[in-house]
Amino acid sequence: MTFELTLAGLITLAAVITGVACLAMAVAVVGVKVQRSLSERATERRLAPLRPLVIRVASGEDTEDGEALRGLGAATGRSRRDLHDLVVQVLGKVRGEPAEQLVELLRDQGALSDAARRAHSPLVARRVRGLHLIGCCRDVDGLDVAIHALDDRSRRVRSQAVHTVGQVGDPRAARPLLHALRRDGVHLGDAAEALVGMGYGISDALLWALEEGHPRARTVAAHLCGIGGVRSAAPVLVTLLESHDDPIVAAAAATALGKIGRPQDVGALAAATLHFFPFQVRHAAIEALGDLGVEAAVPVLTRHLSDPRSRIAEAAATSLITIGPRGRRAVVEHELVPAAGTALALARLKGVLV
Amino acid sequence: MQNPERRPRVLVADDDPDIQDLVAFKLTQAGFDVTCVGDGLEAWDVFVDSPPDLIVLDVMMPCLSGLDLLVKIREAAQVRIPVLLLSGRSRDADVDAGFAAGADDYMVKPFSPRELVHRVNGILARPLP
Repeated sequence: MTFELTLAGLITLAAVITGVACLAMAVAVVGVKVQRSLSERATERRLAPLRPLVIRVASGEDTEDGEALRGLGAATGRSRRDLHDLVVQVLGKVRGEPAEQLVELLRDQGALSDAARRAHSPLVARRVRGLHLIGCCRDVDGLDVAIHALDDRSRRVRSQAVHTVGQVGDPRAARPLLHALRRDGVHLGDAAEALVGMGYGISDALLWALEEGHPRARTVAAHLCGIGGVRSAAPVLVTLLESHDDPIVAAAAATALGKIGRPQDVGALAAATLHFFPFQVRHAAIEALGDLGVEAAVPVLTRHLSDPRSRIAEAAATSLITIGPRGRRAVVEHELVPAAGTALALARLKGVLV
Repeated sequence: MQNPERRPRVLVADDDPDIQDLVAFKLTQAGFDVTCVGDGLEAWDVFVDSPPDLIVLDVMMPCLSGLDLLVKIREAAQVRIPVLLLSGRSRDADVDAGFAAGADDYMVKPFSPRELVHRVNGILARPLP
């Protein structure tokens, strides 16, 4: 028997193969959807008797003898795993005593020790999940695991670890977190938020980061020193501003000095407005002089009203208005300069000037 | 004049079923008559049909956001119905926007259910402006 390969035959064969492949894909998609739907329904069935109990505990309405908590404690097997997922979901929505009771339930049922174990799993998703649970429960016992994960090989895990140490809120994690910023994959805003969550005990770690940290850590530390008004950091911030090795760090240092508000830093900030400093450092220094609110900065800022770079000139005008009557007088005297005229018009619109 | 026997009616508008259940359970236990809806338009319909004594409103909701609904309620209602915003947005600007839209109180999630009841009672005890 012989086959004769014709063009029409080839086209038919290709069409048949494509049709079968499409059919197989459609069957696979439907199969996955059906399986997912069945699995969701099964989870709903298992959770049906537990959910009202979780709501009762989470709303702080359990009976004095803890009837609902006892009911939840009795869950076993698959129901228990589903319960843990539900509790974690609800923990993100309530705080106070009910949240503490739910965390204790998870602890009693071994979910937190499981989470710590999972954080060492070879699978990224499991490590992330373990860290997520430690964070949701603000589990101080899991802090070392989370700190270790700040240096994980996976970017996703490192990012989750930052959130987790922030949620746990223990200042012991501040230095390891700042150290972890030498590697990418951690958003600086998330790191700053996590550090804020650790409260006032982080100033030593911030000083360490300013002096010895990676530029990314220095930027975050400078930002937080400004927000927190850490006056002891001012000398280091002045050094970072003057050296301007890294313009981003120097700009963050300038902004922080403005917020800390020591009048003696006016000289360093005024010097950083000179033309040989990078643009972003000059801009930040000019804004910081406005935040500082020291009249000694008026002559320097007045000179910058005619700066060839319009953003520098506008920032100088805004800062002068912020400084007070003497600064405002200087802007009015230069009203014909475009930057000054614009700043005055804006200030009048905002009601700062009549 | 309100009937002292009548349970105060609270409308809870939030697209998160967990929050709906939590708030409804807590307020019901505290003596309120609670209606829950999952989006802004549904909340508007309930509001128009039978205005509640107080509304607990999420900010981020499908169809009509909490802030838009709040503005609409303030424009439409002849009587000022107290509104407590319960939102995951915690920045100062978000809180300012809530009060600017006409909210009587603002709570950030995660929230304390006990505190919610105190605040609801506090708002209802205030004299109407």
